Amino acid sequence: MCFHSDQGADETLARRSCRGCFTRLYERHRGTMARYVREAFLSDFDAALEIEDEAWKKAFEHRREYAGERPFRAWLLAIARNQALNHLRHARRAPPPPELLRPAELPPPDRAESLESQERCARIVRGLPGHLREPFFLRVVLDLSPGDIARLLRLPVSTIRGRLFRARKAIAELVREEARP
Amino acid sequence: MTCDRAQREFSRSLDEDRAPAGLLSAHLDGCESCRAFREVSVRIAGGYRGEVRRGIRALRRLESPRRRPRPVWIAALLLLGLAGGLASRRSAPPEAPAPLATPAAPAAPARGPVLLVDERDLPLLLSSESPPAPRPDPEAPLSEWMRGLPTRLSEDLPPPRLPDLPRFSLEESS
Repeated sequence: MCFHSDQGADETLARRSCRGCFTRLYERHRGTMARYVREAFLSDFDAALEIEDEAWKKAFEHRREYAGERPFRAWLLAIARNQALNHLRHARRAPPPPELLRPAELPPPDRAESLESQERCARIVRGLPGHLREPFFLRVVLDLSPGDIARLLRLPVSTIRGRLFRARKAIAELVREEARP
Repeated sequence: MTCDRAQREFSRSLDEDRAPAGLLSAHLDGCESCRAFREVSVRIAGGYRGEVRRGIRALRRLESPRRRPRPVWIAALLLLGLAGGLASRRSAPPEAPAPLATPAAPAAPARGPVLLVDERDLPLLLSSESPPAPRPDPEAPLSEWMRGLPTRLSEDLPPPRLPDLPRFSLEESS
């Protein structure tokens, strides 16, 4: 049983390494990793849920190794990313199971939608190539700093900034193309 | 300032959560192409963020089973109630003789331990085993199988029953 306060920051709770605090972290962040895997790797949603499940188990097993030198969410996402890459490698070697990593079926563009339509925004972002889509997701949805994204993806910060800029340029181009009659 | 540089600087200002500087802001206001870039960048990011966060909230609702009271807690409360009942019976003051002038009040029944549950359920409540849950259809999707899983990560919970999806280990995949 855990008698710690549950109002602390993620990093405070994570450094305690106790089961109750980890349960609170789980309740705060569950679903985030599955969504990250789904958006970054365009995986099937069931596969993304399975990857999240495995990632939580790994995070719980290795919770004492978290030293607090970076945001807890970035640490979690690194675990989920490794799990997702393992799934991808396995899918390349083995005959791919039908439910794993099936590309998302993008609906045809509906010209009647307004620019503010969230589905349309998501469809445009999902049209980006993966190396631009992943940092864009981490920055825009999860509010990770370019430095944290760089550590997560093991790339220089300047590369991340460049990719974020190119993602925005590509999005502007996609929007322009859709607006053409 | 060229448009490419202005857009690059604007992108950087978004990444660093700061407002565009004076010269950049002036360029963005005056150049139609850069203004469109700024507008699209902000709007698409906002819409995408909203869509994804809506998905996360929907997933959490899907995965949130109602918390059931755990048998250990019920047993502890029950024992506490039993102990409290016994203590109140022992510490009750001796009855004072009723005055002769007043009519005798009806005697209150003696208080014993209050059982909140049927005694026949005690073995079930005191045991740590919960009754087996009905198994879902083997052909059902994974989300159906995960519906009954609790939100707490406790080691004393039974292992999740997953369908036979292909499994592999880290050693195999590295």
